[in-house]
Amino acid sequence: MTTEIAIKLENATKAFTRLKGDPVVAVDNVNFDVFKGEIFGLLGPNGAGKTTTLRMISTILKPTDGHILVDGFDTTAQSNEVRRRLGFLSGNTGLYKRLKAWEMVAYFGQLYGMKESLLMERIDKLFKLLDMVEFRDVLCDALSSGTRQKVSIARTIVHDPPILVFDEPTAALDPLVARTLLDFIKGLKDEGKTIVFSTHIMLEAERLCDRVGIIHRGKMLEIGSIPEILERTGTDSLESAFFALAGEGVWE
Amino acid sequence: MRLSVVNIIFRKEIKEMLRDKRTIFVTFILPILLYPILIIGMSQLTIMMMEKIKKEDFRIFVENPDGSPLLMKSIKTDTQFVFSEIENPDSAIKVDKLDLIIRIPENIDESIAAGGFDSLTIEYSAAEERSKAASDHLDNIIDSLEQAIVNNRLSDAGLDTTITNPIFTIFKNVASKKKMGGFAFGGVLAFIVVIIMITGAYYPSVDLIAGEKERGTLETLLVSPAGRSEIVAGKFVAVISMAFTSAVLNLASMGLTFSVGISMMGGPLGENLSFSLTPGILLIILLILLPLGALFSAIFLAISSYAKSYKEAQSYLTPVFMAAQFPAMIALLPGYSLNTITAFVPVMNASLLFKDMLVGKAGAQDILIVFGATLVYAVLALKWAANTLSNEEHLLSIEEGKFFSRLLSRKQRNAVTNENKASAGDSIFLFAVVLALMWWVAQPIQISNIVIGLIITQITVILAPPLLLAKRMKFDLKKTFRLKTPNVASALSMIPAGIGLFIIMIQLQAIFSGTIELPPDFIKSFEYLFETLNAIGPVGGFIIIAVLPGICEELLFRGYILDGLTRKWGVTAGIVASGALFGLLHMHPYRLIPTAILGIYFGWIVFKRKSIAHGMIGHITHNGCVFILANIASLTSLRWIRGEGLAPWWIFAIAIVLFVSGTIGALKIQNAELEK
Repeated sequence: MTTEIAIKLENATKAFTRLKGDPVVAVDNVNFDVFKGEIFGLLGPNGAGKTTTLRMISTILKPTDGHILVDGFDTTAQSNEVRRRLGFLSGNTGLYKRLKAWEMVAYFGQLYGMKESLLMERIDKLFKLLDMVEFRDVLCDALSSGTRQKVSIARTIVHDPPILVFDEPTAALDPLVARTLLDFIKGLKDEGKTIVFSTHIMLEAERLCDRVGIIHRGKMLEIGSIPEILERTGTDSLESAFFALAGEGVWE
Repeated sequence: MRLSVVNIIFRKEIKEMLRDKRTIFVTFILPILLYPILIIGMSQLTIMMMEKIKKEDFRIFVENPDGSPLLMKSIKTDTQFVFSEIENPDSAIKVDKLDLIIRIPENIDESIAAGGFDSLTIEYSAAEERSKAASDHLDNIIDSLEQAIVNNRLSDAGLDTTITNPIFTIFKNVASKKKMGGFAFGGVLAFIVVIIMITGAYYPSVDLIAGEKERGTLETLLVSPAGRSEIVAGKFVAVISMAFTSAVLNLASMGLTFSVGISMMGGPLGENLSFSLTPGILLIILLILLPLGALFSAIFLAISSYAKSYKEAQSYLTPVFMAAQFPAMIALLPGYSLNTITAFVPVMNASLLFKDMLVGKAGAQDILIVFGATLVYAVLALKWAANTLSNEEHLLSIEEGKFFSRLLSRKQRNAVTNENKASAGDSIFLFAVVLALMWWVAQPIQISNIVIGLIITQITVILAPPLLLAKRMKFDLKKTFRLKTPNVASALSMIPAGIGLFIIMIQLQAIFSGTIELPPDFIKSFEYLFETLNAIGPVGGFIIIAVLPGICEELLFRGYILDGLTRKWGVTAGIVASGALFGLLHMHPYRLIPTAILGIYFGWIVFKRKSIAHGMIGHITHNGCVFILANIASLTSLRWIRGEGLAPWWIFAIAIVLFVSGTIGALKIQNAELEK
């Protein structure tokens, strides 16, 4: 792990104009850095602003204030450069039902501008790696949820991006598949990838993350390695640390 | 935009669509099956019905058959008539137990033999197919009997039978079989082709945007290096390709079915009609269908992007889809063809052009105008779609139910705009409501009672909607309707301005009427109105014609509508648009331009002075002049007052002086106290 910065958020803010009620500031003046080669965990309850933050990093949403740099590129002004270097996976990512598993992955490979021969080679490699060669020619509609998630992973890393963003990737998975996925993400780190990972399950964060940021109601409460946070809050687990930071009665 | 990326997206969308069995069926299988089944089924059904009616016996009841052996002889020789001995023929014919009742008067034969005449009553039921056929049949029999009697009488008198038939007319049809085929089938074909094109764009649009959102794939696509414009372009080309393919297949199947079908039908229809789509016509239809398909693909994609799910998108698109069918239906109505106005109405122009082409009426100019106009609409719609689809909130559908709720809920829209003021959308929505009420409420009441109708129209249709809507939206009523106590001198200046304007307007109309002849029914309806008003006295008439419209129409147009339109579109465009809507509401082509000019003028003054009273006084004055004029027009010999010619120059000069000085007074006289 180096101290070279892969992702930098400077006063990143996202406000939504709502039809019902007042405008909502989903992410409020958030600052943090993600270093190259680390797994950074974004922790918080549902509605804390995790997804909005990750969507801003991934260029899907534009910040209403502040800047985000990914690998030195601005997510608003140079979104194309950012997207090339990024793989994005969320827990409820869907697949095209009427495409076969390999076609689904190939479609995104093509969009990333990969050459046909290189793409086919990469797909073969990924399908072997993910142990899903037998599902290659099956329509996505007919796949089990575990296999679907594997297709999504293959889709995420087909262009071999240096930076990966996982938004609650285990949300819809059973514990067994979730565990395999977490191991896989760990493996990606060993390959030298930078990973941002959001979850509301503290145990996952403890298992996986080098550093975490605790986010609540759009504000970043604390950033640091897990031992640092435990020390600062005087607690013995991330969960109690969160309660210490955010106050009681906020979980879920 | 990189075409290679557009192509990747396009190919993937097509691949997915072609794997959808429902799409395949609707696009490819249905057209091949539908038309042959439809036309064969229909012709079989018609033939069966005709045969059935023809072969069936007519059940007749003859009252007093002994009254006319002559007539009975003719009827009895016809095998189709069956004599019924039913007890109660009067009620039997009403329940379709009997087809005809023939009531023969006493001594009819004697009257005829004596050279006189008598009447014969035949009762039938026009609501029964068979009873109608029976009466036609009987009519023919009596006709020939009659002819025989007349001929006898003529020869008895030593006259030639042609004496009753001095002109023997022969009608010859010069239309070719092809033209008649076009006439018979052109409207239907034009309608179906347009509908197919629209339907073809419907499902893919919903699926490609809202469906993709629902499945959670759109987010993934947005993280890929495909730009938003590339995604829109790829999907747009995919949608239009499917819709176009569907239209082509339908067209081919329909053309083939109709041309083969007619000859198969045989009988008089097959002998007189022929139907074929020449390659030239086919090519032009396809040429027009391209921008038309583009127009609807773009509209559907844009609307679909507001929805979060497939179902939600369908609920938005269905009303649009239905509304689009009405202009297409015009082609089915007789008497409609392309003209300078219809050529620019989207959808209607295409379906009318197709019909005209099939009858051989359309020229190159028509084709170019329809193509050009549709292309312009398509480009505008595409721009809209691209804008909507590049909006991140639409793409991710952060909130559900945006499309309609914004229109109707005060709380929801205020959260977005953060202000309690009308927008252009509000103004147009209100106008649409008023227009609908005019059609459904005001018109029927006015037809039944013009005086009460006019009062109800002003109060419930013109005045109530803006007030209620403004109240519901919690708008600032004073600002929206520009209610303020005006400077009295400035506001009263609108009286000379109104009189001057009125004279100038009737002069303009007099000049115009040289080119536009007012239709007699239009003049008649006015005469009728003023006659009715005369009956209730001058005060009542003045209130109905001048005061009520002056107050209610001003609050609607120079209040709410002007406020919303100028806020969004700027001063000039807002004032002109509100004037144009004012003209439109008067629902008559001959009043459109003069009323629009009045509306623009009042709008300008009211906007400048921020005072509705100015508009009201001007409007009441103008309408008051109309009322006075209508009362004195019959008493005077001055032609110009009746709008029939030009006034002497000095009257025109006075009018201009009144108008200009009144306008300047209205605009310039300031409240001295305010200025201090």
